This record gives sequence, C-alpha cells and structure tokens, in this order.
Amino acid sequence: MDRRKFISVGIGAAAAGAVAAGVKAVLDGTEANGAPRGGAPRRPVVAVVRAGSAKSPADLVRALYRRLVERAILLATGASGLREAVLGVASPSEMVGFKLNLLAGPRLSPSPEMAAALAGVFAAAGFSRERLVLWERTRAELRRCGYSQDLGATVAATDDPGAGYEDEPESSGELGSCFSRLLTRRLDVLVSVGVCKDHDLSGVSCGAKNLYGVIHNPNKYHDQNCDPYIPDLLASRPVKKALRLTVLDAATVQYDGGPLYSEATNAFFGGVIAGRDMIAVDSVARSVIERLRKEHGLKTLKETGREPTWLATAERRGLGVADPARIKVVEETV
Amino acid sequence: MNRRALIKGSLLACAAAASPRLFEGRLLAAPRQTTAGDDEKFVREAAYWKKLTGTKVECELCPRACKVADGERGFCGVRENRGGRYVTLVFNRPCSMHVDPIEKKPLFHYKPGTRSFSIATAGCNVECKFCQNWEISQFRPEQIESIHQTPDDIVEGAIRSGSATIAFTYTEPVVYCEYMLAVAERAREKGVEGVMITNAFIKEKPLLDTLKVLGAIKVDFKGYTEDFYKTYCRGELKPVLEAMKRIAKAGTWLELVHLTIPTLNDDEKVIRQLAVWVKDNLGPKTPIHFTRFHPMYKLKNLPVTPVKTLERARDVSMDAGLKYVYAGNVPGHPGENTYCHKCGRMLIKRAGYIIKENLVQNGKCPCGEKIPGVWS
Repeated sequence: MDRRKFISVGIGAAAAGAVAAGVKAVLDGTEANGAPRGGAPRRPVVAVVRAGSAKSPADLVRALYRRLVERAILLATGASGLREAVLGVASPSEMVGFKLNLLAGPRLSPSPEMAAALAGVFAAAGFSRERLVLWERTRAELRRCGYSQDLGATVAATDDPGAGYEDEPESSGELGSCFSRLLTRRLDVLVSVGVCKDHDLSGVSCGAKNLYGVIHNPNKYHDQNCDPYIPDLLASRPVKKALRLTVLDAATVQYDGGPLYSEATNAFFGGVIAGRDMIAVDSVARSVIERLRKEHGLKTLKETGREPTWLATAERRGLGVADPARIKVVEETV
Repeated sequence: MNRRALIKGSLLACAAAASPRLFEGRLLAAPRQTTAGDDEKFVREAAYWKKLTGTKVECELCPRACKVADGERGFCGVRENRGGRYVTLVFNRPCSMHVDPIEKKPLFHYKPGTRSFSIATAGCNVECKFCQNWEISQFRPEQIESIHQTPDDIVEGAIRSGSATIAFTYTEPVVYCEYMLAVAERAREKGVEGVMITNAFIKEKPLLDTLKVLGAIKVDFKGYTEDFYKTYCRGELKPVLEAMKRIAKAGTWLELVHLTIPTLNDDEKVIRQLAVWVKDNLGPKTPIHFTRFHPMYKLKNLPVTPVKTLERARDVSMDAGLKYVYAGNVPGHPGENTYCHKCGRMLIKRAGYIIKENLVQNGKCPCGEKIPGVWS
C-alpha cells in the first residue's frame, strides 16, 4: 500500500492533517515526546516507518530492521539525533527490559531480528548488553520464537530459576496480580515490544495487551473486552514507573482471527510502529487493523462486539491519548 | 520461608507420605516427580465444551461459559484451546496433597473422626478477594510446583494413609473435574468415597455427572446477594443456588460454609434470608457453618470476624428454622458441637478438628432420633 492510501483510509482526514503537521513539528523540533510546549495541548507522536523495498517478512533482515527502528525511535521521540533519542528513553546505567509478545509463535511475534536491531540501537547509545534484557513469560516461548541465538542482549524469562512472580499481589483498580520479578526487581525501564494484531476479546493486541504477560493471572482479566483491566494494568505501580516506550513489529498485521496466527487474515505491512505514548501507539495500530478489516470486507471491531473500549478508558484516566485526532502520526518509508 | 514455599514443601512431603515407596524405604532414592518443563504429560481433552465458529470453543463446565479462541485459556487458567480442541492442563497434576481430618473440610455429618486424603490442582473459576488458598487457586498450573499422580496413585495413597475419603478441595475442583471424576470412580471401586469442597459454580450436566461418583459435597457459599458474588468473587449467586438445589435433590450429602466477613456479608437480615432459603430449598437439617474470616489475599484491610458475629449468625439461622448451625474457626466454642435437633443433647463434642466425644450410634441420638448425615 502506498503512503497516500494508508493516510487517507487508515488514519482518516483529521489524522492525516496531523501527520503533515506532525512531521513538520517533529522535524523542526518544536515538540518532543508529545509533551506540551508553550501551553499547547499534549499531542503524542506515533511513528509508522515502513520498508519500501520489502515484499515479505523474509525481506526484513536485521540491517533493514535497524533502519526502521532507528527512524521510528527518532521520529517518535522528536530528538535531533539517535543517541539523544535513546538517552531520552533511558540512561545507560538503567536496566532496560524489552517485553516481547511471543504468544502466537514465530509467525506472529516480534522477530528476533527486530529485537536484535532494537537492542543494537540502544547498544550504540552506550548500553552494555547486560543492561538490555529481552524477556517473555517462559523460556519455552523464547526458544520457540528463535530467541536462543545471540541477539546482542540478555535473554530472560519469568519462569527462569530465581525469577518468578512476586509473593504478594499488587492491586490497581479492579486488577490484583503478582508481577514478574524481572519487572519489579531487575528492570528500571520497560519497553513493550509487541505486534499489531486482532484479538478476539480485547479487540486488538499490540503494546498494551502485551503487558498481560507481566502478571501471573492474565486469564482473569479478559471480561468486558479487557476494560478496565488493561488501563488498570497500565496504571499499576510496577508498569507505570517503568514504561517508557512502545515498539511494534508490524512486519505483518493480523486483522482478524487473533490472537494466534491466521494465514488467511494476515497482511504484509513491512514496518515498525513506535511511540512514547502506548495508548496512542495502540490507537494507531487499531486504525491500521480496522482499515485492513474494511478492505477485506469484515465488520468493524465494534460491530463484532469487541471494540477496544479500553483505549478510551485509558485516555479518560490520563494514561495516554486514544483519540486519533489528537495523535500526531509521522509516517515514513525507508 | 514464604507461604508458597511452605505449600510446595508440604506437597512434596505429603506426596512422599502417600507414596508406596515410602513404605518400602526407598523414597530418597526416587526422583521427585515435579512438572517443571514437563507440562504436556498432563494434557487431556477436556469434557464439557462445544465448538463455535472457526477454531473458537465454548466451555460448558461452569456458568461463566468462556468463549475461548485458539491458544487462549478460560478464566480458570487450566483449560486451553489448542487448534479448536479444548484441553485440560491438570489431569494427574495435583499441586497440593494432605491428609486432613474430615472436620477440616468441614464436613461434620459425614464420617466424623475419619481422615480425608485431600488433593487439589491449580485453578479456580471465580476469584474471591478473600481466597485463603490464592497461591494455588489463582495461579496457572505451570507457575506452581506440581507432581504427577494418576488416579490409582491417589487412591493407593488414600488407602495407605488410612483415609476413608478423598477430598477434592483447596482450589476449585470444578475446574479439574475430569481428574476428579477419574479419581472418584477409581476410589469408589476400592471402597473409598470422594467428597468435593466447591463453590458450586457449575453447570447442570457436569454437576449431575459429579454427583454420581461423590459421597458428599460441601459448598463454600459466599454470600446471599448477587452484588456480593459479583463484587467480591467475580461470580454469580443464582447458578450456585440452582446447583445446591440439584445436589439436595440428588440426595448427596450436603453441608454449607458461609465465611462471614465483617461488614461485607454479615448483615443479620441477609443471613436470615439465607437461612430461610436453605430451610425451604435444601431442608432444615442441612448443616451450615458460619466460619471466621482472617485477612487474606486482597482483603487485608478488614479485621478478623468477631466471635459475637458468628454467634449472632448462628442464632439468627436457628431462629429461622435451621437445625444444624455451626460456628467455625473458633476452636473450643460450643457452636462447634453437634446437638440433637429433637432432644437438644450434645452428640459430638469438638475442639477444632478433634472429636472429643461422639454419642451418635447407628446414625441415631441416644434418644432414638435419627441424625441426618452419613455416619460410617
């Protein structure tokens, strides 16, 4: 799909205007990280960077992912340089955890190549590999998705010996869970590394839903399309204090049949979506999914009874911006 | 040592005690049969589910009726959709095994003074904020220590430990019903009865199947309002009431426990309504235990239930017409004892789980009145 079509169908006219304005704003450095400046309302930036030369996920090799990730982080942060962008997210003295979503297996999970590229961007900014942790719930999931190789970072699982979950539950709104000790004791910074996919209960599973993997009892929080449980999780102390960046491996986008891989409802997208505001990132990802659903003659998520209402709930609670009209989408093809 | 480590330790110790190997003096040489990295051996096709469109399935075990997409689990966390086939992850997979007095369940009118070989797997289909066993009930099976025990292993352990019953307890047996049914059927063949300690949040078909193989059921009744079930348990009252009526109708021995929590479910008016409902629908001789709450899990901000509250609940219920009303978790309290509903004589004197005296003979009071229950 070309850029014009993406903008016109996916984001909508209002958001399209924001894209243009957003590109200018970001490149001018007039606004960073969606933070208000000069009394202007907060407008988070979401970067959508796609590989123009790629025709299938196999084309997205590490070097190409590296370019995508670099541009995405640069645009999403509004920094003048990549090092500055990364250091705006975390300090090299901090432990940075990249929470992967490997539930769906190798065909619909963040690829190791993308994760390695992401770790490489941080390494280039001065982070030692010991301070970069690619992690998921179980070692089995990591193995299954190819995370046994050297990716320039530490690889960890909550079910590793010595890790596990906290002994006592922590409450946040309706949610009460034991959090992974990797998050509560080992990591300072949380980067959600998800995919862009449909989910049969939460509507979409991108950056936020990925974080169900940091608690011991995610199966308890799928009622009512995960609303208000996802916002509760994002508002929880362990997540809130650590979450700084969301990066989606959008090599493919699954627009129906999630959360597992579905050959018939999967489209090549060839990109990376990133932002500091997770709700904004997920809102943009939702737009992409809705657009693909429309293109394939499917009902909207709302019409199928699984509208991701938790996005609006999260916005009402000040956890991010869900309204597309208030998000600056910066799109670029490399 | 934290609580989870204690549970794990006692599980292994009890498994050892139950194992025939212990009696052959070779326990320490035997490998621990823990489940780490070995989850697939506990997978069986689940009972009580149906296919929906595509690979989606609907669980038909409990009223929650989870609609589960491929790769996902139900609310209980122990049943999973694998490519359109619904499976249980906890067959042969107990995470807790103990030999308890039957009074600990509590079942006061069912084989009193006997031992009950008590087991649980991970998982629960509700989430009570006051759960006393949340460290196993609210976790997924792969997150906690388990061992491999076939139905034959369990029955053999029960017999060797001198237990009259096998109790399916601690977590929620409904979620591991396939395993429970297999164990209970095998146990009955060997002269050991199965008893279930449950929230009774179960659909009719699995309940009726369960009733065929169990000797007794104790229902952990949460509170007599829909709001309490919804707010504090993420469950529903109405299906529980229906299930209890079915249990009573089937003639399976039934007792109720009402964990009485200060300010949340201790309203005398509501307790009276519950007592009247029990009398009218389950019978006035159905035992009910009002037990003392201790702060736990997500309800740590409330005090221990005052004894007076339990006494008042007991008085109100008896005043409403119930004949066997107990005060629980208050060792030595007169409300722990059993009194003949006709002559008022104390028949069973208890101190906690210990029976100090039992005058029931052939199921009767010395006055000749038949006492409801199963006495041998």
